[in-house]
Amino acid sequence: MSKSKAWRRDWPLMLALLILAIITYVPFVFTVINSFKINAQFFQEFWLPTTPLHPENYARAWPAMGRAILNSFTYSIPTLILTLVISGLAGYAFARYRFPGRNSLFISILALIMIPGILLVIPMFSVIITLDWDDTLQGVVLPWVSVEIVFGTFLMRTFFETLPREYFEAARLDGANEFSLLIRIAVPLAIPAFSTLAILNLLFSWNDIIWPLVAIFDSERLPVSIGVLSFAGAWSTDYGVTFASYVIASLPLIIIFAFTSRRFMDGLSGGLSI
Amino acid sequence: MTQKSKPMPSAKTEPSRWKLSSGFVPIYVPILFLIPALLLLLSFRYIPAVSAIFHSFTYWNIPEPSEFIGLQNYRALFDDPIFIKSLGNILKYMVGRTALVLVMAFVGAELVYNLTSDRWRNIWRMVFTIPMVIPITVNLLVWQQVYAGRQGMLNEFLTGIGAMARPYPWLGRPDTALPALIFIGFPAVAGFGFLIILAALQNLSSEVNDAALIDGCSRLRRVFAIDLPAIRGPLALILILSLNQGMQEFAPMLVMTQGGPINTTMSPAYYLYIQGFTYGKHGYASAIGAVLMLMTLMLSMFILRMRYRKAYDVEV
Repeated sequence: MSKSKAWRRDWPLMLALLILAIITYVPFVFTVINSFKINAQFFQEFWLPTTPLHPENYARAWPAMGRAILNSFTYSIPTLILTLVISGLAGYAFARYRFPGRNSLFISILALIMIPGILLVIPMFSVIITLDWDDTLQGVVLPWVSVEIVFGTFLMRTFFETLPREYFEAARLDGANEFSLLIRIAVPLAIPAFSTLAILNLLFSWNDIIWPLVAIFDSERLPVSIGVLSFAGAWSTDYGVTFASYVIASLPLIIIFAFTSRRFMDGLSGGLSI
Repeated sequence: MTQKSKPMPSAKTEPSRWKLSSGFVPIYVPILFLIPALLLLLSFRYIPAVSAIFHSFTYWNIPEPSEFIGLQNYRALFDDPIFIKSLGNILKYMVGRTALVLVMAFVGAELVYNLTSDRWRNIWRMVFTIPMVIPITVNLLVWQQVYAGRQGMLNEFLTGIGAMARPYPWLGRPDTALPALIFIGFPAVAGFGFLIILAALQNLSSEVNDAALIDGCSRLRRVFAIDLPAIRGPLALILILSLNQGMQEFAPMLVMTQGGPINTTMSPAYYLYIQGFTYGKHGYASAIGAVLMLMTLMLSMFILRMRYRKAYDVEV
């Protein structure tokens, strides 16, 4: 099809998409523009940029938001690593070995998807209080991992089942033991599935509000998801600084996305169905 | 949920090729691999789940020991006007939000899918993925600014074009607060639903589409006659996820309205949080959670039954 013909066919769709995109992005563009204004400029000109720019808004927001971002990474990275390792091990065991009770065990893990997370917050709170784990790394990370390995085990099992068993048999005949089969053969082949899981995991741990809200009392240790909320509450009278804090809070994931966009989008779409 | 569309969850579709033909491994190998997962699930999922149900029959203020009080929490719960109100609210929110998200994700995905140019298809896919990486809290705070009575974007826009004489506090009035929460992120194209539906559409065989077009089927008719039935599986998945998420919605209420004005945006999950962590009534909050769980389970079962009733998946 020629270019002009394609364009004649596509322009109504493109126009509709453009309108949808504009409405989607206006609030965010507005936030970025106004993060460079002081209140007087904001009250005078609502939509458009004004000069001089006030980047010092960012300097004001940075100490609190930078700490929150650092905290978020401190919680998210161990969560990510543990989730990948534990889901990989469990998914592999379900996919590759046959043992008594395998199916019922798998179904009982899958059933956990149906339990609303919020129901478990209270007893889990009681657990971490009993263990004296409030305001600790493990108090945030381990419950998060326990949420994420349910879907993770499912995803990794589904993936490992697609690997041809001939690969494993050949290596077995060469005398590889079970653990090295996993590390040398299964894991390298499973990189796409691991990246999907990693992305979903990162989005989850970066966004979760309820568990850090319950498990962390020290405001110095709050992750971004809550840090930005308390910062916005404290600075609500200064629009520019508040908006700057929103932008800072959004940057880490946007930067990660910029470097991994293809993998990111493929990981999120992955042909899921029921 | 399975990769691609299969008629049943993968637990039953076990290819025989996984039998270990070249020997046996000791049973401790799989058990060893499963131990970390099982330990975590046991301590942070299974035991807490049982504990939550048990404690819904108690008076409990952590860290004090609980005291068994029978059905008292449940009786109080169904006499609690705020809880009853929250059930009605969440029903409206859940249905409204799911309808919006499902329809807009489908519309967006079809628009992108029908483009002729691959390059533009990828660009638009990217455009509607980026908003997903903005932290949820930031998104909610930005939308609070959209709805704000003073210096709010919606008001400035509507008064600017002359559609409204005076600004209106959208989140501050009982009649508009809940609808405002439903329309957060409007047009709500950007999201998992969009990506999942688009991926499903792109997996459809182009031969069927071409054949339909040759037979004189219009593009619009093809969308409803071919695309829609063919992506039933992914749609059901989004429906379940969205309804379940809606039922447990918590963050918009916490960030934007605190359940107000006059409890018109109170949700059961947020009420659970208040009862548990503001008032320290952990037994009462557990009862709210148990009711919420029962509703979620019934809903999921219902959708799954609808999905597999007289429906056959055909590879297209």
